[in-house]
Amino acid sequence: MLSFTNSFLRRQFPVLALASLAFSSLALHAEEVTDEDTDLSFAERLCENKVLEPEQNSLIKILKQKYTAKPGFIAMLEGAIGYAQGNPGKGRERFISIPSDDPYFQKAMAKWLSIAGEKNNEEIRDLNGVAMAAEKYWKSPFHVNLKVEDKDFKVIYEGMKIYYASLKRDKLAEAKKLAADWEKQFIGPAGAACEYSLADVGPLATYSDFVDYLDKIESDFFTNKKGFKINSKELEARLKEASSSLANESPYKDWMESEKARVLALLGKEDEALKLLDRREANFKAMEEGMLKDKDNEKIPKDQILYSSPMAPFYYAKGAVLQIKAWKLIAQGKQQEAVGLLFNLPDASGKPGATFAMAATNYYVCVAKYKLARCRDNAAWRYEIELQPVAKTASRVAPLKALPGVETKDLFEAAYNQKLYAEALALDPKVRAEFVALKTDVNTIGQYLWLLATAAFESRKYTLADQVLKELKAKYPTAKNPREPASKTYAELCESMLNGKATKLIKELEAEIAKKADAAKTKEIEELQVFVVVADNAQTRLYAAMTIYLDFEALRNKRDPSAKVRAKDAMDAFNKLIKDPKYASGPEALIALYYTAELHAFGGDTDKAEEIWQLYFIKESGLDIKGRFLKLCCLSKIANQRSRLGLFEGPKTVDMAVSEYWKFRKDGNNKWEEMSSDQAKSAINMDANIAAFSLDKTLKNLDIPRKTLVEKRKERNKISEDDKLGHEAAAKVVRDLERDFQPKAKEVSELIEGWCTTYPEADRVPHFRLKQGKLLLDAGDINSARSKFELLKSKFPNHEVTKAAAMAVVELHLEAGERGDAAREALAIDVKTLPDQTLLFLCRKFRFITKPDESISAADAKSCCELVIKVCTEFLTRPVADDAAKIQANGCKFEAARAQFYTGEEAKALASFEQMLKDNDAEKDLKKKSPYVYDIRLMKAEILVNTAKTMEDFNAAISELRKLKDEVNQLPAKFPNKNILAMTCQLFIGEAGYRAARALGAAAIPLIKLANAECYNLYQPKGRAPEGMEADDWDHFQSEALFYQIMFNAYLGRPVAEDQKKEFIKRYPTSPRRKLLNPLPQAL
Amino acid sequence: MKSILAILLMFVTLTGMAQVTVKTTTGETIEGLEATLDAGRLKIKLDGGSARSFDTKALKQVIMSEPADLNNIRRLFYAGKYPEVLALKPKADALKLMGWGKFAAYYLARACIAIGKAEEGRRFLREYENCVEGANIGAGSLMIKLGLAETDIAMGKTTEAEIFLLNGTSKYDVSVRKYVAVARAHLYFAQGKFENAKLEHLKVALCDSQDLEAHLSLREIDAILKKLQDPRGGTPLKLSSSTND
Repeated sequence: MLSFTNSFLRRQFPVLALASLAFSSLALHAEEVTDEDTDLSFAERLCENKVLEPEQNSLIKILKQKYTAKPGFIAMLEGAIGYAQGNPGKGRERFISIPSDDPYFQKAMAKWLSIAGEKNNEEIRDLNGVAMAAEKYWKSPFHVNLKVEDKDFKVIYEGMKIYYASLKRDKLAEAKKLAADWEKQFIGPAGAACEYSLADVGPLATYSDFVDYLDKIESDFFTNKKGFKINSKELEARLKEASSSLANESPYKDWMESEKARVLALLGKEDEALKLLDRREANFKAMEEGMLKDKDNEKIPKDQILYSSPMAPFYYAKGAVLQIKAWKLIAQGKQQEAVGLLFNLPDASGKPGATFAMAATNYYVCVAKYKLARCRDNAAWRYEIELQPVAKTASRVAPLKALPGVETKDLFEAAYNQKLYAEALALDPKVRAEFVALKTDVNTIGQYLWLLATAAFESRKYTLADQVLKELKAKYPTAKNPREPASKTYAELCESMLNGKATKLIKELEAEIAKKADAAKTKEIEELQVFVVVADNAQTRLYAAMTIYLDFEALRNKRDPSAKVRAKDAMDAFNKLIKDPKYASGPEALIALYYTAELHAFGGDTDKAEEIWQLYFIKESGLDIKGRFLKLCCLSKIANQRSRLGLFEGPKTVDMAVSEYWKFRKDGNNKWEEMSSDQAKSAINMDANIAAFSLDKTLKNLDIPRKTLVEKRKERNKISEDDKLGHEAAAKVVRDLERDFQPKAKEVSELIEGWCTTYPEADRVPHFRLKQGKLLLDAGDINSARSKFELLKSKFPNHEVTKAAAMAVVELHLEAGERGDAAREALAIDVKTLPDQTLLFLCRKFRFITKPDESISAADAKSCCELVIKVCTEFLTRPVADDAAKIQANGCKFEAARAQFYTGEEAKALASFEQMLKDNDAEKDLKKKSPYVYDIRLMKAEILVNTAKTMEDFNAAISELRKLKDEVNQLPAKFPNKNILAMTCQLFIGEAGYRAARALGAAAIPLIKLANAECYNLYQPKGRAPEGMEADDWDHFQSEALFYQIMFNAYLGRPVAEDQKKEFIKRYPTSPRRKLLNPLPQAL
Repeated sequence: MKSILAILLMFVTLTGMAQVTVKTTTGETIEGLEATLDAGRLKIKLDGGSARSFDTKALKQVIMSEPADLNNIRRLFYAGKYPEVLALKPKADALKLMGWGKFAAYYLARACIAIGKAEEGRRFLREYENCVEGANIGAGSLMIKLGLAETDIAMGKTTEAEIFLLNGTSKYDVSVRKYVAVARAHLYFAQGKFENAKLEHLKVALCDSQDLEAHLSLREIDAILKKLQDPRGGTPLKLSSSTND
């Protein structure tokens, strides 16, 4: 404004130019700024400037370097940048991250409020942001010291008003408290003038809320909703509240009279309501005339003046009161009295008995005269939808005159606002026909379709909602909602709305189903509990209790936490049987007792469990084979429990239990040959388990030497063979340990072999075979280990531990560098049975080798890709439990698409990428946004690298990678895979340099130097993997960075290449790049 | 109609304001209509026709609008007419008593640097160092310090300049902001930190885009781009969406 005035003055009054300059100069002198203010303002302008887009990131990076010790300022800067770049979400995220104890907190909040609250064509830039900022400020301790004189007061006050308005929508009580607290701080004693009150929004809002509420009650009344009953107390209370919220001089006081009449009618006092309106009519009319005659209003269009006339709500209220009266008469069967003699409107007779016609007349006038009035849509709806059909069906009655200037869309909106979705949907064909006839603009149609989809969803017509969404996307992709800060299209809004609603619905349904299932199960258990008590024989009671017990077992096996509850139910049921004097001494009670022991063991009361088992076999002794078998079971259980508890010493040892078991088992008097086949099988299993105790113990004793050996081997592998002394020393340690360990391992392996031969059918055979294989593996006997794994795979192909064996073979191949074989081995595993973590492990292990290069054959790379696709596809079928799983799923989507790309399915892969980018844009929750959008861009950059042929191509690829790297570096520290992304950019720059060197020769030297610098920065011989990065990944980056450096230095003819080569061989002895180092390439 | 009325009102307000305010070392404040130089003394025409005159020692602060002579010096400097700038030295001397001397010295020093006579520029700055303060005490002194830093840089003494520019200036009047950024840009350039230099110049070009200094900065950015072998070098950047404060 000031600069405008200056230039105007200069043009109009040249003599004043100097004076005005001084004025502006003095004004400027008053403002002191800091470096931070300057940098902040600069960053915003930089990001708004399209010309400087290419260097934005690098410049901001330089700018930020100065403030590394000031995280609050950095966050503020990034927040401002977010807004300047048109990304209010990012802006909000950064601003909100500033803690209230940060020295920049107050400054940042004021900045945030002023940025988010900037106005553009009367639209506030980011309403949500303003509300969030004001909330954060208000909840911080600083607000207590805020004063009207403060520099930032005004901006905070404007923000608080918006926060208050947003709070009021959902949390009225909180909003009221806020307004009261604010007033207390800035207005002083109650009743004082309120220049800075939030309440200029408040009272009107109470009034507005009340009218919404009244509309809803009225709508329910007219549509005669089932079970609807007016809550007169609430209605009266809210009327009182709304009336008292308006100041005496408020023009809404007059409006309120009309609303009061509507309330009276709803409360059954129609005549009183009409009298009230009649009393006020002359006054209202005079006010309206005064408004129209007011000279100040001369240039204002008539519609806009009438908008605030008290006559608009008057006509609507009168219509509504009369309609209520007419409806009641109709309900009482006094059709004739209600409808009366109708004439074509608006010349209604007004005679008594023409209630219906009078109602219609009032609505008509409201619609025709007050085109901008709030109640106009509702009046149109009542007229067209509620009165018109009655007029048409009543005998000898002419239809009502058509309403002027009302589109069906207005009626649709009225229905929608009243939540009469079915009625709204019914209007659709007519609305559309009008759109064609009236050539309605795309944005209006977009908005309509959005509402239509919502109405369809709300009335559970999901297919229709989906169809409307598709239509929006296809036909009106550019229709935008001007009210949305980011100016989103209606299609986007509709899609996210439907997604949100659908997710909510699914959750509700799931919760409902789970609740029902729980209820059914609870009911069943309750019934069974009753059975246990009322059944007239012990067997039925036992059966009922056992049913509950089996349910417990199923839950326990599923590791369901509700197993505990069921265990209690089962215990109750068994106890009822055991403690019933009628059955206590019977065999059923004994069996019940046996199972309670199991429940005690589950609950952790092992002493009680053992006590019961002991008691049980005392009671059982001398009984038939069934009893003897159960006694054997008890002995086995006691031994098992003691073994599980590790009771090798003390009064009750495992050995004692074992010897007791064998004593009983080997006693010829027990006639075990009488056992049924099932019993015999169980007995063998028990034998095997008991015999395995000693094996378990021996294996456990080997644990420590085994771990030591594995660790020492790792240490030895880290030392290069070139370092003869070091390597030899480490190798000697390993050899000594091996010499010690191998015979023991062999001995245990033979014990396992013997056990497996003795009990080939035992349940634990596969487990022991796996242990045997792993033991042999650790003993260094890889071939024997592999044969044991193979044996396990062939004999028990479907056993769960077989997967572990197969995975062990996969790892064996990987260790041997046989990646193709590893992938093929893994491909043979049924991935459906693998846990999530194993799928992710396979994906992680093979993702870097999906890319075919010199170090892997095409066939092997293909197998790796197939495996990645398979495991990722499987992972994506699994339910997404939480945000972390969502991120993993995004990762799998990306890896699968990348692998597809390398197997030649480029189109499919690119489609996947596009979909991911799209999904990501649609995802509102920042936490769930896919970090893989950067990977996708990385992938695209990689394609540029791989297809580059000319200098320009390589330059373009490198510049894209550097840009991406800068962007990634700007991401928050906790961004998933941030380090991996940035490092991969660096590696790809290395790859670009490497390829450029081979493709372009000496011409590529500048690029080689550049790439060499990136790899130099990446390679950190003394560094460690950053937090959150797997050691494997870190090694990969490091080895590759060193490899490229060696190559670059060789191309540049630098002798350091030879030293680096030695270092590489020493550090990464198993790297496939090793073979590419001999001989080193010639200098270019 | 309303807007014309507002401007007329403003006209009345401006003409009603005192044109010169003098604060003396004895603590007296004198409001006057006009300031002129008379035999080495500042002569203040008072309302009612009388006048008072002061010598340098009696003056603590003189607050008045920017004199036309300073405006001329500045325009010539930005037009690259350095000898003409230096030829106006006698006029600049007159500004010493009017509270604008330190600003004049700054332009004289930069003109000297531009023609390779940094030491002479330094002498000017020292000469004007203790002249009468203007409206904003501190802004003038900062201009002298910035001028000295510029001469240091031109004479290769970047360490001294760095100490002052990077650690000694973090708060300044908004009107001096562009000169701070420019001095830092020159320092970075001398140190071979071209990206940083570009950034400082861009601050001027974006935050004070309507100022003559911004045009100079854009020319210097062009030189940096050439140095960085940026393909855009040679055609001065057009920062389309830049705005002024």
